[in-house]
Amino acid sequence: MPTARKFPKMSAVSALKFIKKKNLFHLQVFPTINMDGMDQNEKAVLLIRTHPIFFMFKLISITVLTLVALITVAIVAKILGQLNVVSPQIYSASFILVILIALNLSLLELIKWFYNLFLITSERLLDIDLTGIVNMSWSSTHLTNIEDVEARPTGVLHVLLNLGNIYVQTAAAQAKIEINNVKYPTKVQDILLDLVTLKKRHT
Amino acid sequence: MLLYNKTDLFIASPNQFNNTVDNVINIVFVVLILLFTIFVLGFSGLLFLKIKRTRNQIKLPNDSIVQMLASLILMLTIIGALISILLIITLL
Repeated sequence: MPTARKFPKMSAVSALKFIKKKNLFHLQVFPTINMDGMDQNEKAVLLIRTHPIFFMFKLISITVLTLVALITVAIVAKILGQLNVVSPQIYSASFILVILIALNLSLLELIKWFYNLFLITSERLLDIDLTGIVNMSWSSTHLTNIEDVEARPTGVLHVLLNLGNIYVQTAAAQAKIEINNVKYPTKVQDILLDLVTLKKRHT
Repeated sequence: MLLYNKTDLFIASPNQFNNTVDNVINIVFVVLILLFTIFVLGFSGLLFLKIKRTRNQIKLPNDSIVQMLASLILMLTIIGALISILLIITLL
């Protein structure tokens, strides 16, 4: 008489519980997501974004550059103001423009951080890359096509904050899908690999 | 003192000449600021549209906050651009 197949307990469950307990914005377990082409039974398992510290670095650099630009405008206004060459309205307009440019660049960085994501669902892996205002790529692969998942911490910041890059090797034409600077890379790797194993067993 | 060329035609006094140079510099700045204003307005509008289009494709948690922020920045950009254009119009 055939016995029922017993699956060993997946370590991904504890990894998901661990991540859920941390309640991170850039690593969300079972998020509510609706997207084009999502099947009825498909459920989002894990939403992964780059660690926000890298977005903060960009914000800080934009702030510093804005301050430098404002100081430059003020110095130029003082020098040219003594010569009465340029009207004061132009300096005021330049100040406003510099602040507006900084605001819009900050928003661009926020959007780039927000929409650069990895989404693991019960059926597939979705990688969204937003590289500019208009350049956006959507790579999606079925979990059964995933061959290998690599978690690679590189650099001092990765060691300090427990971050890493994740590379996913697929059987498709596009060889690798990657996301950089992810928190708890080994746990994410574990979850993804367990889901792949589970999916391959069921098919 | 007036400046004359070889044919004794009137050109300009030194004060008039300096004023002309100042005006040219002002006009160059005005054109540059107008161009940048249009660029920033377009950029902000494009960012807002991008978020709206992407939200139609994929709805993520908290993306309404990002869209609200984008509309706020677009509004600020429009107000700022109007102020800078008004400032410049007073020069013309």
